[in-house]
Amino acid sequence: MKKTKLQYVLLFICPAVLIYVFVFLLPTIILSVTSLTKWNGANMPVFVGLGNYSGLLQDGTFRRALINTISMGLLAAFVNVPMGVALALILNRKPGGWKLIRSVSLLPDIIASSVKAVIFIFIFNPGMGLLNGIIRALGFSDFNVNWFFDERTAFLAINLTWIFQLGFVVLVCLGELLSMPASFREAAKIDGATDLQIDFLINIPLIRNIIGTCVIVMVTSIFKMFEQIYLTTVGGPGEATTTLALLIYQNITNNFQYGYANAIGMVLLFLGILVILVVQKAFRMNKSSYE
Amino acid sequence: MLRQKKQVGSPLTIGRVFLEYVFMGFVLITCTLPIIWVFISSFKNNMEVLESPLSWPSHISLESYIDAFKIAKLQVFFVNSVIVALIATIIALLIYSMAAYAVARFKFRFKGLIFILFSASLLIPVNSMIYPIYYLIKSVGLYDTKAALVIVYIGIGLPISFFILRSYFINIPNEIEESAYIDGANIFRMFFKIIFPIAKPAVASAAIMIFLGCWNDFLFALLLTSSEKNRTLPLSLKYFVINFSYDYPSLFATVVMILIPCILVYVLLQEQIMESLVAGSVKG
Repeated sequence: MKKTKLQYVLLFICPAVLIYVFVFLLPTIILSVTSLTKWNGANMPVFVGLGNYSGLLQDGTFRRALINTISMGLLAAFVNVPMGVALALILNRKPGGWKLIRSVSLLPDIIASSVKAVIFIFIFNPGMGLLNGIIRALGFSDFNVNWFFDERTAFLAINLTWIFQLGFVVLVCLGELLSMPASFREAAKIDGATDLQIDFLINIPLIRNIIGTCVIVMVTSIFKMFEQIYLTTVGGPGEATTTLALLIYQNITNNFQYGYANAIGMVLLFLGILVILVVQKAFRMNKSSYE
Repeated sequence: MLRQKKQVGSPLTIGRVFLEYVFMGFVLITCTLPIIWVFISSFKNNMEVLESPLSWPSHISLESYIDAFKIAKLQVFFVNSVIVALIATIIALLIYSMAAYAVARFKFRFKGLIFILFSASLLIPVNSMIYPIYYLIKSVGLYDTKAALVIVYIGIGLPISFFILRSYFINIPNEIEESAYIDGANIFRMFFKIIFPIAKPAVASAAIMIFLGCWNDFLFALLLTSSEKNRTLPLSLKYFVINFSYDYPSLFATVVMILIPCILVYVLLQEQIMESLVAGSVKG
């Protein structure tokens, strides 16, 4: 291309690069460097090497948050995504009302997480809540569980706020299924395959890549989940619902332990990258679906 | 249709189809019942709410909505949310479409590096960097301003919009620009008059993704603002939960008023929203 264009190219690309530097590059550098320091914001950071990280190993709250975060990631990968894929396969046969179900299932994805959090505060309220109301109406008239604030049910309740949110997985998988050539399925049909056989032997292998993408998107978005915990249980009771995302925030606002908080941030960052690498390997995502 | 007719005989198939409808019904209920319940409950009075979660309101009263508006100053937060989300979306679209176009079309030094860095930002969970971002915003003196939110929201929109736009630009045939150059158009005019309009579907997809992200964000609003005049709608919920404490109908009414614009937009732009969600994930 012509030489005179260089300045135009710079003009075109500079604003985006500036934003990138400010919101991604500098924060990443600050994050990784200060995670090696003791820093309370008022004084200069003091280098402590891997001190924060060895501190994390001995921190019971961190361990609990890590376990909770990973458990939720596993729930996303092994419960939420499979349910979504199953629904996509069902809707792919276009039963009556499939378009309605597709639209409705996306509704929770459109609503802000903070609004969802407040709605679930109502639903799980022991006295006036919808869930206990329904259970009582079914005959258990003195049922009275305080879902969010009972140590035994809090983690379950937090996960109930998102586990049935299938819209994104359904939409993406169904889109892929509908765009695939029908010839494979028709051939199998003629050979006498049942719907279930077609699903497991043809459809699922064909959309393998997109299922992998769904696992990555869902697991990493669950790692980021904040509002549904911050506005409801705030990590409690005890540490039952503490996650890494919440712990970072708490270390910043309550303890002013910025170096320590950033070390947790590094753990979250690596966890995210690990998920991407593992899922790509497990789903052989760099290979085409037709191999 | 043909398929169903053929298999209707087998009891196993009938059982499976029945289970499938149970599953679909379950999804329908979990996705809509909470919203419907909040909507119905917002017309009750406090006594009725506390008495039974499953009763109907004795009469339709808008009292809770009036209370919510009086106490909650929803209009202020609503306007804040609209301003921040709109400005962030417009600026983000402008700068990312320009950058995506340059990367898609021109050869220049560091192009590969820029592409790799922008791709890597997809992998970075922004939540892990809340303190560094907070620190940077504070040190440039933007703490508790709408500008801080706009900048951060533009940044968060980078990975998705850059990829959606770039993959669209790559597929626009080169001849269009070449003929424009021969006609003597400069690069800016050509971009905004010719390329940008052609890329409308991708621009719309990116716009929806960015806007939804801004509109729904809670964490950065919580982190980067403190005063009421910069409070956005999602963040305001935190204060309503405290302020209304036991005035449930008003809280219900507040939630309904925050929900309505979202649901309206979803119903109106459904196809476009679905497309952009798919585009955002597949390209990402």
